[in-house]
This record gives sequence, C-alpha cells and structure tokens, in this order.
Amino acid sequence: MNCADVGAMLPDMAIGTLDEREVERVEAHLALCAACSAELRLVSLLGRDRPTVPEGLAARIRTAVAGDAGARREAARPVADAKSRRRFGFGFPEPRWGWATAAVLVLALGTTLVLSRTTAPGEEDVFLASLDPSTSVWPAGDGMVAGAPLLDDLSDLSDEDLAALLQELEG
Amino acid sequence: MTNDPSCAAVPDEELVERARRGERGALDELVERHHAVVYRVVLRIVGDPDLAADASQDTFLKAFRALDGFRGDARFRTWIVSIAANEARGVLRRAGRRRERPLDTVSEPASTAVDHATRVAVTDEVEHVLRLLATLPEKQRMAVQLRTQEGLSFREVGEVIGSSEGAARVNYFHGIRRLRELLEESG
Repeated sequence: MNCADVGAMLPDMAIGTLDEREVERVEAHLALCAACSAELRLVSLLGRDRPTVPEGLAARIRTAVAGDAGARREAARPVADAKSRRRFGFGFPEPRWGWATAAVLVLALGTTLVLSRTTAPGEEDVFLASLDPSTSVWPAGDGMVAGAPLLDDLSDLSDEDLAALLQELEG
Repeated sequence: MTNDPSCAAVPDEELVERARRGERGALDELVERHHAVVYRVVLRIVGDPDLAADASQDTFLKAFRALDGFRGDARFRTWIVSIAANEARGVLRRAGRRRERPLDTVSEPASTAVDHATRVAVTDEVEHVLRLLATLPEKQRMAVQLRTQEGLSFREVGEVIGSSEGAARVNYFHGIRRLRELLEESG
C-alpha cells in the first residue's frame, strides 16, 4: 500500500468508516510514513468543521414528504373513482347523457308544438303570418292578433245570441 | 431517530424498494439517514442556512417523486447528493446570487458565509487550517471539504462539483498537497 492509496483512505480513517482490515493496513503504513501521519492529522482537523444541522429539519422534511405523497395519491386515483364521487344530492350517480338528453327532448317538444300549430287544417296561422314581412298581421304582446276585429268574450253568449251574431256577420 | 424500528438496520437499497411500494416508514428512514449530508452539501453551495433548509426539503421531495427513475446503479446517497447539488445551484440561480466567477477560480469560500453559531466549537488550530483552506480554488476547496467533512466518495464529490470522479480525485489531492505546503510555510 503506497502513499497515494493511503491518502485516498485517510478521510474514511478519520471519520471511522473503514472496516477493521483496512484500518490495520493503513495503520501499518502510518507507522512507517511521517508524511501520511501528518496528512491524517490535517484531514482530522478539517473534518471538525462540520456545520450543525438545524434542529427539527428531519421532522420538517418528513412532514413535507408525507403531505406530498398524500397529494400525489389523491391525484392518481382512478378517473372512474373520481366520477363516482361526483353525485347528485342523494348519492345517485350523475347520468352520463342526462343534460344532453333533456336538451334534445325540450327542443323536440318545442318544435312539435310549433309545427302542430302551423299545420292544423283550416286554421289560419297568425304566427306564420307575422313572420312574413309582406303582411301587416302580427301577434301582439297580449296574445291578441293585431289588425283583427275586436270581439267581446263569446263564452257568455247564448246559442240564440251567437246565431244572431253569425247571421249579422255573414249578412 | 427512526420511527419504524423495522427499517433501522435495513440497507438503503431495500428502503428504496419499500418506499416505491409506498411504505411511509421507509421514506422516513431515508430522510433520517441522509438529511444531514444533504443539508451540509447544500449549505456549502448556497451559504445561507435558511435557503439550505428549504433546498434540502425540496431535494427530498424531488427525489421521492422520481424514485421510480432511480435505477440503483449508484448508491442512494450518491443519487440524492447529486440532486441536492443541482437544487442548490438552482437556488443560487433563482436568487440571482450565482457568482460570475467560474468554479475553479479562487473565491470566497461558502464556509465563511456560514454563521459561526451554526458550527461546532473549533480550536485555533482548526481556524488556522480553515483560513488556509479558504485560499484554495473553489473546486479544490469543495473536494477537500466534502471528502474530509462528509466522507463523500470521489464519485459523489464529482457529482457535487460537476466533474468526473477522476477530476474530483485530482482536485482533492491538489488541495491537500497545497494545504500542507501552506501549513509548512506558515510554520
């Protein structure tokens, strides 16, 4: 074992991390080598300049690590699991196509109502007429048809009065 | 202090495997074993105890997030020390405090920036040696400090100072030889 080999091991010797067999070999060299012995003293002096570690640092790191691991586990939970947690009030799962289906149904119902009004046989459709820019008939805000003759409520008329009114209109 | 007694005598490699399986006690034990060397390595680079504590915590968070990528062809300590050195250099960059001088030029040592209250009591003789140490080029000084004070291997020293294992060895021996010359000159 030469000085270079021993010199590389001296820090471990000073710190005490060499195994027993290596210590014996180094000590055998040091007994014959003043230069390496002086170097061991220098290395030992240098090794005393170790900054102290702040108290509680390990606990602080452990806490941060535990928090980070928990957050990552939460983020990595399966998507299906996350969906099952997104529920309506009583724990029923949210229907996957619920809102889209409802929107389509409302749209279809509205369209049906409009079409049924516009296609009823023998019935003049004032709403369609109102969309025609060439006509002056349009639905008013109170549900009456602008431009139509004003009539009183006919529900109170007796059959005789109603027949007389029709005769008057036809006449 | 070890929270989980079953981890106390377990080698790092097995702790890493357990930690990969999410065993909390293994993570705690790895922190317990290596937080001091991580802190001191970072402190020697950034020179500020508060920044060093923050960077030490970030080092472990990053290491454990990347634990699946640790291949085990190096010791865990070597791996985390290299992460710590990178983290410390990142702290300096972010703080805008990185010195413009290259690492291998003579510079003010980080150890002089460390509050004396954080050190163990040292004798006049040690103070004299440390003053001489402060005159070495930074890579030599770091190599000597990390080897003699932390017991890092030359490979680990190389990871910290950004050089090969061989270059770390050369820096260490040049530093020691120069210190011996300075000691003889100073009587």
